[in-house]
Formats: sequence, C-alpha cells, structure tokens
Amino acid sequence: MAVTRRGGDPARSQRAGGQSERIDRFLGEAAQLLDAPALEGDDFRALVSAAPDPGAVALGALRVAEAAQAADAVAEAAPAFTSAAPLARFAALAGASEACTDHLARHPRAAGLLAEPAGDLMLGHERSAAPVLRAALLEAVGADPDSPRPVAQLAGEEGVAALRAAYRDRLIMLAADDLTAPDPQACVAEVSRILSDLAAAAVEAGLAVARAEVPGAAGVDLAIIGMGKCGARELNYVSDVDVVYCWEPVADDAQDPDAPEPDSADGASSPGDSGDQEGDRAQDAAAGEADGADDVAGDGGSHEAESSEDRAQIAARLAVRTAEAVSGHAAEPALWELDAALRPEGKAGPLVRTLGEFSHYYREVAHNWEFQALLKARPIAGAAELGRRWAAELSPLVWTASGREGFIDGVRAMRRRVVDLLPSAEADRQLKLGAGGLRDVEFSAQLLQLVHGADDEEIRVPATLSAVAVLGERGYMSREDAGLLGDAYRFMRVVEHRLQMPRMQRTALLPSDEAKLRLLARTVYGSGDRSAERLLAERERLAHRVRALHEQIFYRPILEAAAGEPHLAGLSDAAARERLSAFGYRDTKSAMKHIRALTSGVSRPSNVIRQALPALLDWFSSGVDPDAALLAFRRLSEDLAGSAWFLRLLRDSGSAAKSLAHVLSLSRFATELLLVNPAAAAWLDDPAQLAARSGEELAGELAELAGRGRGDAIAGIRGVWGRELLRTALADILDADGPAEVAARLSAAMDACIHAAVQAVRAELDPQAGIGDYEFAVIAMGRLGGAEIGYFSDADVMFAYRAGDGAPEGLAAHVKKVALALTSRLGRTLSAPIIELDADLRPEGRSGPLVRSLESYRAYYAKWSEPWEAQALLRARPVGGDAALCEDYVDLIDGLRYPQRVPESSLMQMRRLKARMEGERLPRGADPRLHLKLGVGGLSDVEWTVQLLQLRHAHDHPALRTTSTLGALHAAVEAELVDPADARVLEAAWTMAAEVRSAVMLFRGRTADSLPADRSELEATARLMGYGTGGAQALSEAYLAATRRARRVVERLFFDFDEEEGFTSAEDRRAGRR
Amino acid sequence: MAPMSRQQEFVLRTVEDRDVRFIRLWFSDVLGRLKSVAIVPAELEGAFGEGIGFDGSAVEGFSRIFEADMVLKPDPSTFSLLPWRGEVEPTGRMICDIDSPDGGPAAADPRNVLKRTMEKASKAGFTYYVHPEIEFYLFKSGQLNGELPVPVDTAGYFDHVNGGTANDFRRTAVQTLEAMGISVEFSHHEGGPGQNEIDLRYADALSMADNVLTFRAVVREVAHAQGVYASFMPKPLADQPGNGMHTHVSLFEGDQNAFYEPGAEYQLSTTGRRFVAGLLKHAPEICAVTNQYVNSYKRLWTGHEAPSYICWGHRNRSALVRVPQYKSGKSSSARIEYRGMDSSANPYLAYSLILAAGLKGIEEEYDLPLEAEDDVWQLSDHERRAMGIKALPASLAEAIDAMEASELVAETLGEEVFDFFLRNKLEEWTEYRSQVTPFELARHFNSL
Repeated sequence: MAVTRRGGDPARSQRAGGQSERIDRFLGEAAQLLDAPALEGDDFRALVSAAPDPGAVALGALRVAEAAQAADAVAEAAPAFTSAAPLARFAALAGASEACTDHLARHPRAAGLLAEPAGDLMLGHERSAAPVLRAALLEAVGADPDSPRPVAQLAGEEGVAALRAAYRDRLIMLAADDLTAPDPQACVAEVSRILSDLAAAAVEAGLAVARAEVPGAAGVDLAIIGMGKCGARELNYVSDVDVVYCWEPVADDAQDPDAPEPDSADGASSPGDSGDQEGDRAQDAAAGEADGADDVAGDGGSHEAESSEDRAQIAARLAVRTAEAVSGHAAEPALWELDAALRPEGKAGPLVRTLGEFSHYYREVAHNWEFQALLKARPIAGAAELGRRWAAELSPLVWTASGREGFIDGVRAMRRRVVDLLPSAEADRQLKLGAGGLRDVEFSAQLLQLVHGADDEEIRVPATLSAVAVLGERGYMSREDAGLLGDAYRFMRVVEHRLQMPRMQRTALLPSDEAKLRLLARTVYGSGDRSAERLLAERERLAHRVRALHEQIFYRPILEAAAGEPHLAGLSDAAARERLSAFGYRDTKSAMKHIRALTSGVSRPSNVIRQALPALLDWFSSGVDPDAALLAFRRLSEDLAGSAWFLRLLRDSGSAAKSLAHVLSLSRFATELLLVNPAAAAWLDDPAQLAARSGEELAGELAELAGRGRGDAIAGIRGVWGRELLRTALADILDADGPAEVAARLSAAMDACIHAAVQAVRAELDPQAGIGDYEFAVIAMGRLGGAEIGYFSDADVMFAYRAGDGAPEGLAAHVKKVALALTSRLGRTLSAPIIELDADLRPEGRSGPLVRSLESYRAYYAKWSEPWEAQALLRARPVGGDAALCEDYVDLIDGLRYPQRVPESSLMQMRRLKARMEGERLPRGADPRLHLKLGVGGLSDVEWTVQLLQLRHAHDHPALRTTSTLGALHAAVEAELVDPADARVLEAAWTMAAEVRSAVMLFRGRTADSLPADRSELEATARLMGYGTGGAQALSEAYLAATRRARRVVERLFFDFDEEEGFTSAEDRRAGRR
Repeated sequence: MAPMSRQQEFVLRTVEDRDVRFIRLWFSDVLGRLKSVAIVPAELEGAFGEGIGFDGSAVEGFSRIFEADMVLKPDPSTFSLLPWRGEVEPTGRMICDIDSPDGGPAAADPRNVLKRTMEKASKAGFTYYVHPEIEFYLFKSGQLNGELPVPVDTAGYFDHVNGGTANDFRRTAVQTLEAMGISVEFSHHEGGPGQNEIDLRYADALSMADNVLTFRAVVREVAHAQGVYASFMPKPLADQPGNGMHTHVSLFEGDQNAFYEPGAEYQLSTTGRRFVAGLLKHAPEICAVTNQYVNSYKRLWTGHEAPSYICWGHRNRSALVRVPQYKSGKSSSARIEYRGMDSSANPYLAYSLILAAGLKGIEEEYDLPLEAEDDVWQLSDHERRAMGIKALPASLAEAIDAMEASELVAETLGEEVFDFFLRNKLEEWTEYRSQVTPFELARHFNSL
C-alpha cells in the first residue's frame, strides 16, 4: 500500500526534543504552501500534541500540502486547514492512520471533504444512508443508479481507480468522525453499519464496471449475497468481505435495449498487469468472439440467445471481474479481499450458481456449519429481486437445520477446535479468536439464537450487538450478562478498528512492539490515562469476564427459570428445558427439579452453588450421562453443604470443580465412595493426593491400627482400603494412571490390609484363648496372587498354620476361629467397602478344612499324581502372616508347580479340562464373544496359555517363576519360548479385557462379566478407556478383533492346533465357540 | 426434523401423483437375500425422518450383540415403481440403509459394509465401478417333487430359440429392468439348456449392488408371470454349466481410469496390475463370500470354464482374473474381470471384498505374477505347482478355513458380520456333511 510513502520517517525515530523542532518546521512549511496560517497557530499545535502520533500529523500536513501544490489543487485542499473543526479532523486522522494520509497525498483535493465547519461528516448524516452510498459509488464510475442493471461508463483501469477513490473519500470522512467521537464505543455499531453499506456500494460499483467489460452481461442477472460480517452489517474497517454469487438468465424481453454493449476489442481493457489477468482478458475476448459466432447461427441472430451454459460463464466472468475491481492489483490500491470461499463446496465448487442449485445444495449436501453461516447472509449488491428470492428461499433453512440431532453439539465442538488450534504464543494478543475474545461473544449469541430461534422469530437478528441486546430483552440471557457482553464487545471492536486504521490492514492481533502498542492506546483513548498498561488491563479484565460468562451464559437463565423467577429471567420453563435438552440432558423435568433444589434458599451454600452450578452443568453435559451426574452432585451437595472446604472448592478452584464434574458424570463407583468419604473430594484440588501411597507409609498406618488391639481395628483397616480404592479410582478416571498401575496399586493396598487384619485379629483372639506360640499365614490365589486385581475382585485365599514347640490342645479349632473372624470382619457388609475373602479354592474345596497345617498341605499335595493339578498353585502368593511359614509354604509348592517335566498325557488332560470348561462354565445366555473372563480370547484363555508355559518351562527358566500373568509372558518371550508377535496379541487382549472390567465397574459401580450390551454403558466404558466421544462402536470392534486374534494364538499355543491342519479341527474350534 | 431433501420431496410427490398405494422397503440380509417391509404412503414422511423400526433379531445375521432393535432408513435416490404391480395397485420400492437405534449405521448392514469400503477407496482417491454378467436358469417348475429340475429349452450358447420362452422372457425381463432404471448392456442364451445371461451396464458399486438385488427379484417375478421358474443356484444341473456372475471392475481417479496406461502391456496400468495381484493373493480368503454355498464349489470344480485355479490371463478363459480386450482408444472402458463369483453371492459383501483385496495390492505394492497363457485345466498338478499356480478352495469347508484366518476379511466386513458369516457357513457345512447322498448309496450300498 506504500505508494507515495517517503523512505524513513524522521518524525518517529528521533528524540522528543528533535521531534518537536521538526514538527514546527513541517507545519511552517505546510502553512506556507497552503497559505493556511492556522497550521502554525497554537490551537492546532495543541491538537497535534494530543494526537496519537504528533510527528505523523505534521509530516502528513506537509505531504498533503506538497501534493496539493504539485496537483495545482491548493484552492480545493486549503479549506481543510483553515478552521477549527476541519483541523481537528485532520489531526485525528493523520495522527492515527498513515493510510488515510496516503490517500490525501494521492488525492489532495479530497482534503476538501474535511472542510465542513461543524458536525459529523458521515455519522448521522444522510450521506451515510445505504442508497445514497450506492448511488454515489455508481455515479463515480458513471453508472446510472436507477438502471436495473447499472453499467459503468468508466471501465477498465479508469473505472477501478474512480471506484476505489470514491470509496476511500467516504472512508476517511467516516474515520474522521470515528476518531473525533467523544465516545467511540457509543457509535461503533453505526460505524460498522456504514462500513458494511459502503462495502456493498463498492461491490455494486465493481459489478457495474464488470458489466461494462464482460460481453453478454445484459443477459445475466447476478445477485451478490454478503455472508458473515458484511451480511450482518457489522463490518470492520478492513476484513475480507465474504460473498456468494447467485445468477439467473434475464428474460430476453426484459433486457435493457439501451445498455451499452462493450466492444470486445477495447472494452475489456483490464487494469491488471499480471500474466493471469492478461490470460483472463484473452479468454474474455475469445469468448466474445464465440458469442458473435453463435449470433450468426442462433435464431434471429441476436445475442440474447446464448445457451444457459454460456450465460453461466458470463455470470462467472462478472463475478471474477467484480472481485478484481475491488481487490485486484492496480495503481489505486486494492480495498479488501472479496472472498467467495464460503460458497457451496468451497473453493472446489463453481463460483456462481442458480437459485435452484443453491437450494439443492443446502437441502441435500450442506454441513451444519454452513447453515450457521446462513444466519448472517443478506443480499448486498446486484439483482435485488433475485437476492430477495435467495434470502426467502434459503434463510429459513437454518431454523430447520438447527433442530437436527447433533447440530448444537457440532457447533460447540467446532468452537472448541478453533480455540485449540490457536498458536499459544498469540492467544493472549488475539482480540478475535482468543478465549474471551470477540468470537466468544459472537458464538454465545449465535448458539442461543440457534437453540431458541426456531421458536422465536424475534431473536433472528444477524448483527451480534443487536442479537445480544434482544436476547437480553427476551430473557434468553440475563440482562446483566447481556449488558456486560455488549460493553465488552463494543470495547473490543473499537480496539480492533483502531488496530486496523494505521495501515488499513486486516488484523486482530495486538502488537507486541511496545511503541506500536503505545500508539494504539493513544488512539483508543482520546484523553485521560492513555497508556498501553491501561489498554492491556482493560482488555484482560473484559476477556476474563467474557470467558466466565461464556461458560455460564447458557445455564444461568435456566437456574432462574428453575427458581421460578420469571420476573427476572423471562426464560420460560419450557425454553429452559429445551436448552437443557439441546445440551444432552434427557430427563429435563428431573434436571429442573434438581437445579431448583440445589439453588433454592438464601443460605450461604445455595449462594455458592448458584455461582458454581452453571459451569458444572456445562461440564456434566460433556459427560456420558449428564442426568446421573446432576443427581449425584445433588446428593453430594446435600451431604457436604455444611463443609466449608467443599464450598471453597466450588467457589475457588475451577480445575478441582471440573474434575469433580468429570468424576460424577463418568463414575457411579467413585461417586458412591465419595459419598462414604466426602472429604476425599478435597484431593481433587491436589494432584499429589491422588498418587499412590508408599508401601512403608501404608504399612505404618495399618500397623498402628492393628496394634491398638481393639475390636474396631478391622473397621479402621477397611476404611484404609476404601480410601485407597477411591484414591486409585479418582486417579484412574482423571487419567493419571494406566491399567497396570491400577492393578498394582490396588493389589499392594489389599496385601497390606490383609496382613494388618491378621495381626489385629490375632492380637485380639490369641490372648483370650491362651493358646501358645503358633504361626499363621494367608496365601493369596488367583488374581490377587498375581497382583492383578481390579476394583472388585474376590480375594481368593488359603489359610495355613504351623504349631510352635509342642502342639497345644485346640490349636486347630483356634486357627479356624481366626480365619473365620478375618473373613467375617473384613467382609461384614454393614458398611462398604469390604474385602471379601474367599477360601473356596482350598484343597477339597468347601468340604475340606478351612485352615490346614503346613504338614497337612504337604500330605495333601503328596497324593497328587499329575503335574497339571498344581496349576492353581502357579498364582499362589503369601500375602499376610508369619514370614517363616510363608517361606516354607512357598518352598513346598515350588517343587509342585515348577515340575521337571510334564508328560504329554498331563498336557492333554489340561487341554481337555479347559475345552470342557469352555462349554460348561459360561453362564447360560452369555455371548462367548463378549464374556470377559471365560469368553473367546478372554482373560482365562490367555492365563491358561501362560500357565501352561510356566508348568512346562519354569523349571528350566527360573524367570518364569512369577505369579504375574504378564510377567510370565514377558519372561517366556525373553526365553524364546513364545514368538514376540504372539505375545503382543495375547497381552493386548488380556489388557483390554481387564481394562473393560475396570471401566465398567467404575461407570456403573457393579461388576461386569461381559462387554456391556447397553449402548450408553458401552459409550461410557469407551470414554473411560480413552476413546473419544462416540467411541462405543470403535471399542466393540477393537475388543472383538483383539480377542479373535488372541483366540487364534491360544489355539496354537495352548491347544496345539496346527494352523495348516485340515478343516476338522477348525470345525471343532468353531463348535467350541458356539 | 431435518429439511426434507429434494429427493425425498420427489418421492413424496411421485407417490401422490401416481396414486401409489404401498411402498416396499427393501434391504439385504447378511447372505444377500432380499428382505421387504411394506408401508403405506402416510408412513413415508416418518420413514424419511426417523426411519422405520423393526426387530432385527428375526433377520439372518442381524441378531446383533448389542441391540436387536434396528431402524430402516430408505434411500430416496433408489425409489422406483414396481412395473409388475401395474396400474391397479401401484407399488413403489426403495432400498434402505439400516441404522442402529442411536443413529449410527448398523454394523450388520451389508450395504453399510460396502459404503464403508468405498469410502476407504475414496480416501485413497478412487471411485469404484463394476458391471456384472449374471447367469441364471429357467426351469419349467419350481416344484421338484423329488425329480431333477427340467429346463425350459435345450438350446445352447447364443442360440436363437424360435418362439421359445427364453426370448420372450429376456425381452420382458430387460424391459422391466429398464423401467426400473437398470440399464442392460447385453442379453443372450447361455451354454446350458434354459440358461440365460443378462449383462448390466456399469455403475458405481453401491448402485450396482442395489441393482443386483433388484435384478434377482425382477427375474424371478417375470419368470413367475410367464409360468416358469428362475434359479440363481450356482450349480443346479450336475452335467451343465453353473451360474457364474463374472464381474468387471475398474477404479477411477477423478475422470481418469486408474487401470489404463497407454503403451503398457494390455494397457493395464501399474495400479491395475497391483489391484489384480491383490485380488489373486487374497482370492482364497474372500472365496467363502464370493462363492458362499456348498453348491458353489460344485460349479467351481466341474469345468465348464469355471475358474478353479488362481491365475490371470488376457484371452485365457480358464483364468480367475481376465484382463479383457476393449475398444482401443477408449481408456474409460479399461477394466479387469473377476470370474470366480457366482450368481448367488451377496453383491454388497462380495464387491466390498474384491475392492479391499485390490486396494491391499495397491497399498502394499504387490507384484503381479506372470500371466498364465495355457488352459490351466489341461496342466498336470506338477506343472501347476512348478508355475506357482494355487487352487481356489475345493469346498465350502476349505473356504471357511481360509476366511477365518483372514485379517483382511475381518477388517473389511467388521467383526460382527465376519463372525456371523463364519458361523452361518459352518452350520451349512455341518448339515451338508451329515447327508448320505445318492452317490454314496449308488456306489457303496450294494458293494459294501
């Protein structure tokens, strides 16, 4: 844009003293050249000093004076520099906008436009009326404003120059008003309105120029529809003007016979000098000739007879030339980008379409966001009647589309993506897109319009400020919120305008350069504190409030409606429920009831909750089951309303409250535990609290409890278990831990609790019985033995004892009493949570003794003849009691579970047993593909496969001697007993099944045997496992695939089926599947 | 509710203007058999909006794990009137997509399987076109009463039958198909007595699968009207040719035929060669779908030009894949012909798998084996082994085995359709194997 700009600007780079002297000198010279002594007067000198950039004013005056002299236009320009009002306008303009000075230097006569003695030039003046602007710009290119299809007399470069100069003449008049306005925020909406109408007038004049150049133009009507800001009449000084083009052929008898038809030889002279435009010109010319040829061939030889295709091409050429007239490169700088990218199919689609095509596209193809764009669409230029039909046909569609399932969700997701995509370095300086920026206000207003506009036509207003106002008036947001949003929006728009003015550039990014920021602040504030600090602070404060409002604006009126305060809100109960439903609440009637219960009353708790609830409602709505989360929150609040810390958490800590909402909306399990142990909600505020307790810390605390030797010791131990269960669950839900971590944490805690419980029970019972010295041990089996438990696992155990010196009478009866006490007290169900010890896996099952001596175990195991009988012992691991007994027990079983060799017959026994179990153990009606434990490729399949490897190879490979399934599998890979690819398949299926089990438990608070068949349970499970929204289908597909692959590996490694074997075995496999 | 689309409005208007009394909603079960629900015009708008709910558990392959309730969503672009219903009680039909109750496409819907696979191709830049040559027999009756089926004539390949049923039949069938918007390229008498072939003009694979579904219904309907019986059974007569459905396949990238490359051998582009290579490599895995019945293997393994061996050729009528001669200079008709499939296949699933196998070849840049120029039937086993030519599965059992091990098929069909299909086929095989056949009785009863 720097066309006549001088190299280097001395006024800006010098110290103040030097600058002041230079200002005086420039003003003196200018005064002389223009014969305008006022330029040297004290009054003007004061105006200059107050201008945002005094040096620029002085230099500007001199440049305009020199240009006027050179153009012999002193007489026209001088009046702008003789009286007070014009001088004030000039000082404001030149001090804030180099681009405006440039225009005056290019066209010194235009300075005369500033010469009116008083009042505003555009604001409130009839020259700013849309029809007047349109007529003025058309006349500037010599077109008749009253013609149905005005054609410019000035075409080519001349027309383009005239159009742009006329536009800028009016732009500087408007900018002068704006910059001298006592309260710019009061007039910013009107400024935007004029900018939009001026832009529309420029487009209209551009079309007139195009009509003069494109042959056959008379046969085509073209309506230009403004989208976005221009459509809504809320344009900035400079932004892309988004349009779409709609055309139709002109009925032959309706064509204006007097319209000058350009001669293709010289009429199409283009202002452009680029190769492309040369090409276009050549094409135009060629097309012109082709039309001529058609004339000869066509009926009657008139060129109204072009085919529809030809006319579509003419319409497209008109659109291209119109855009070039306003945006193309030329001697007179371009205005702004005329952008047609929002058209159907975007850049891939044709530039112009008929109304029928538009209608088809929006009914059949268009995406949700494209309907959103229709909210602001308005015909701005070209064929008025066609434009009206366009609007009548298409505008209503947004209101049918907005009722579609997922529409509102999609709109919100789009907004989140935009914020996420912002480069973080710029986010703070972004007036428009950053959090709390202009877009947040626009978005809030639009979303409310989309939710309620279908039923309430009053709120279908395109411009943001008007929309905010009417939404406030009609109660869709509180008046207070509407007021605040409006103020913030006006302020930020003024800043944005001032930011664009210096070079008339499209930007919404606050400068990082200190000098530029200072200049901006001086332009924004005409008086008082004009510092950059004030500007930044004010913006920060407003952005913060907009951001806070943005999160709450949808819910606050719901609260008021729930409270039955229609005199305040005006949002009816029905409208409030409609809004809840749009955000994913299903049972909106109950939701309203909960909201009412939570917020009614004048107590401190309900005050705090009233403040916090809007944000919580929003967070609940992004969970799987907002209704359940709201109910859970109500229950929790009723329990905790008296706790100061809870209210503090809601009031002060955004992230903790958000975590709480997340937990409540995703996990009934954690919610129930929270209700038992409400104080734990405080952990959400402190990540360190969610980390696993160290082993020593836990052991110390438990030993302390056990040592008290009182009857309630076990209750304390259960409390510790519940607490750690909750801690682990919260960490899991909030995504701190992986599944392996969860199992390890839970197993470690349970080990410690059982050990402590043994001590506590013995401390109580032994002295009463007066029994002598003996040892006692608890041996974990199954998943606890493998340290692989989930949120709900029975603790499979066996009890062992060994008498000390001498065998006291009644010891056998006593240890049984100890074991029973352990089982019943840990498992007493009066208050959750519990540890349910299950000794059914002991020798001889329920018919065998509950506790055996080590020797009894030895005698029992000695009766075994088959190595496979020791399979269950592979996961036996002592977890509590006396260390020496534990060690000796392990020595006893190691010989059994890690045998030197396993005969083929024994392997076959194991395989048969497993095959039979697959048929028998699966519950009736369960789908074998979905059963987590006993299903195809499920937990059992993988565990048996690993255990078979251990039985066969652990003797030779000591690394296999572990109770951990994955540990043994990894060791088998190390020992090259299993192909790494097979191991990966097994691990994937096993891990997935375990994860599903945990996730379902977290979600519904009850155990699950199978992958959930209920859709919302499946969705929640997927969400907890880290799948995105709508992950249910993906999870089921992934689970079925993982287990199917695992089953194939199991068939090879466990059953020893040969892949290449004939069909017989495959049939058996599938039969087993059924 | 969503704005009514133009297509939907068109259907509603037609139904009103033509005084249509019933609209049949057609869909395919997992085995490709036509299912139909009739609604009255008053229900049509609702059908376009929320769809028509039905209990899927009653339909083969739809007994989903997760929910039994399903929703039919008619595709308005498939609307047509059923010509054989005439003017007395005009009846329309539309083909439906099947949704699960929460809105997403149902995993068990074969049409959705094809849509998904075509979408995958589209992400790689390809659109997928097919045209089938559909063979079928006309028999005098559909009632067997323990006898062998009796063909309507004794003519052979391209024979003209004077005053025969076949000519009348083909004329009426072609007119009916055209009336339903299905373009016919060619029709003639085939090799077997009473056997006919009708070739459809190429279309995108989804429309074509819809067309094949419709085709089988039309042919049966026309036969019924003429007092004969049409059968698409792969091998109805032991000593006569079976009913193949040779399928011509091409991929386009934008306007360009991706199989065409001037100057290349047979003008077949690298993409085309890789597609064929993929098809050959995965042919055994997809065979249980392209040839889905016990009876299909009777066609594949009894000569009559049915392809038993996995190879490709140019003029070779024994090859599984043929790269046909086409009009020189017409790049758009470049294509390859898959000769394995039979007329009983589920076109949605079979087209999906052919595409998936070909795409795999393109993605992984498979090398195309050498062309087979000899009649592979004439070669000895040793010769074929030496040439690296493998055989297609010899029975449904072998095909099931090959499919079960295929990640490609599982991924393409989705786990649910994959599992259902395998189980269903296994049942069929198990029942078949439990037969004591006339062959066994004849051969063994008196000698053993």
